[in-house]
Amino acid sequence: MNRHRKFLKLGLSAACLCAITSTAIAEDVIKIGLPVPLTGDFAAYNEVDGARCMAEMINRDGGVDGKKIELLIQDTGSDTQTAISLTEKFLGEGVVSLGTIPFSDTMIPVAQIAAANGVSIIQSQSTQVEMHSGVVDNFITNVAPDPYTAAAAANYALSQGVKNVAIFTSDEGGSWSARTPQWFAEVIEANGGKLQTTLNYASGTTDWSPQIAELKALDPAPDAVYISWAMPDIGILIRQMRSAGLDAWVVGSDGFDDPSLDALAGDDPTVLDKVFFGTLAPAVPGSRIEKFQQQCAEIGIEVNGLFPSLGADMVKIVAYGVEASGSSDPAAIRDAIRSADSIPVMSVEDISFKDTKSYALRSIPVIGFKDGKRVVLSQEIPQNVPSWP
Amino acid sequence: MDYVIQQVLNALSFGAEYALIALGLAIVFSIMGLVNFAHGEVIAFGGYSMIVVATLLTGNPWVLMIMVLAACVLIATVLERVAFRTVRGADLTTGLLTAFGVSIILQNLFLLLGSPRPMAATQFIFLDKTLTIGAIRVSSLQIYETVATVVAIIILLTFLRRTTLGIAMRAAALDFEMVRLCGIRANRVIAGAFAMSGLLAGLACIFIMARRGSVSPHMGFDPVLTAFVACVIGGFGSLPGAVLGGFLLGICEVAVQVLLPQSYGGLAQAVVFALVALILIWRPDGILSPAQEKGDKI
Repeated sequence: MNRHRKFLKLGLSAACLCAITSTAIAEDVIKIGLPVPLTGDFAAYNEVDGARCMAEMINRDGGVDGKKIELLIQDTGSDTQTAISLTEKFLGEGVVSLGTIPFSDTMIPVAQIAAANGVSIIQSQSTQVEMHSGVVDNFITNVAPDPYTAAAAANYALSQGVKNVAIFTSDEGGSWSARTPQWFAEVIEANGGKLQTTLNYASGTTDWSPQIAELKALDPAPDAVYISWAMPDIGILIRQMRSAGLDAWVVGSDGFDDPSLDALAGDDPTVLDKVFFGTLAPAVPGSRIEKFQQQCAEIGIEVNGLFPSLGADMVKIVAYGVEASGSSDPAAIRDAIRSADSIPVMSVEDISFKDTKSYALRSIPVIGFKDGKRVVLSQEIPQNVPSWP
Repeated sequence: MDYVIQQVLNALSFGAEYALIALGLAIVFSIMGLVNFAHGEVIAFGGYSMIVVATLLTGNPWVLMIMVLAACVLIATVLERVAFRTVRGADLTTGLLTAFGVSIILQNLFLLLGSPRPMAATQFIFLDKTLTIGAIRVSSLQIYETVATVVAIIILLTFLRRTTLGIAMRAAALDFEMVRLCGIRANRVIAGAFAMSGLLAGLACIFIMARRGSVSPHMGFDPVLTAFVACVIGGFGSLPGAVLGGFLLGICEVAVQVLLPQSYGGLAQAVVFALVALILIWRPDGILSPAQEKGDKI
């Protein structure tokens, strides 16, 4: 009987020791949960590589207040329900913030669940306006919403003498693909231009001939067409328009910001001469983003493209919140982030959420091409942004 | 008038692409009753193979075309051997689930070994030139695609009617056990069907790559779903039915795109499928459904 009690005491002591040790370890680690799409339709939009690289860099420099950053990364398969399940799992593991599939139908339920634990959703690259309508209070995105990119692109178009425009809309990408073109057209019309027509399309369009025939039937021919969509569909549209003899500007949003668009210039650099897009951060030769990608390559982490790179900003924002609050309490971290005048990030010098609470009001770069190479055509925080919810 | 002619040509081009992929589905279904939803990943495999060969060996587009065709034939026959042969005797649902499983596995392999984002491969873009005929500007790719589809079905029909293997395939579609009792190797017949399906996927891959200029993990899946609908319209298992269904679907899509007011653009797919439903009410087994009594599939 005594021996039995002895074993019981030993067992309890061991369990207590384990609990104390794991708490001590937990306090030495800042956990960031990333239930993100590593596979599936939205895999192109995850921020994992950039986040992993920045976490590695910070940890090599001793961490944040001596605490290492640990990324909990698991694949959602681009499925909302899986993202929710993984969110619950990561909350149980004590994450201080979460990033997930950057579309509102996932971000909203994930944010609602995380809110119960005081945890914030800190997205690297979400531009959808739905997230800023007050439906959740624990959402922060590293970039400016779509109306800003649309207005910046429209302002540059106006500076090039654009008057008549046609827009492509689709409901398949939410407000990003349906409303952003309309915001672009609103700015054009507010400055004396005209919206000639609105054309529809579906995701995965491999032949734009019907829409191009409609564009060709317009009189006068449009000066610019605007579409908020992604590669490779955009590349097909550009080439087919040029083949059909349409030389209107092709204008777009951050969906254009992909290295495979640049590859179109491989055979004929002139194909991109009249293409530009308003985007989230300036990923051009010589930029901070390019330097970051080179540094990552040196430590053996490949980071390609804008979207993955912006994961680094998210890690920097969380690190700032932990350092400024001196706490690992998620709510304190969020308050510190929102009250900061300036938070240093990778892609630009610094950002702030002080006035906006849920998004970083950045200077919007409009990127075009010269001899097939990216150039920043303009950079501004537009003052004439259309009203949005 | 020019606008109308232009849109008619566009409809033919849409239809040709759907028909080419639908033919690949139909040939396998006609022999072994399998709806091979992994056909799209065979097309994507051709695209990724093209990138590998272009990076490591040569960027010569003609060599790459041969490599794409060979890669698609190879992967189609490998899939038959590894995945589909084992479920040959199982019911339709098992085959369907296997095809979906293969499709998902391949998509994720492309994604993990390649990239989730599109990878540029522009070697076939030269096929897409603009030809001016009077006031009409036609894409050379549209012409190549339409001609290739017509030639493919002529060659296929000739093969199935005039060669021993082709006749064996038709017989297998009628009574598989009897064909085996006659001493014909069933594996060869079915592998032949998959190889032909792979060849058609390779052909489709060349045209898709010429248009897209890039490859991505999901590039084949959506076209195959559309081609599946084309097969249903034309009559599943019927090769001319697959072609007819492809062209009809192409015409429907372009007509809806052109005629539907843009404010109702979000309903385009719904209208197309409503038209498909009407066709199926008229001909529930598809327009050219195979003769049930004889069991002949072509």
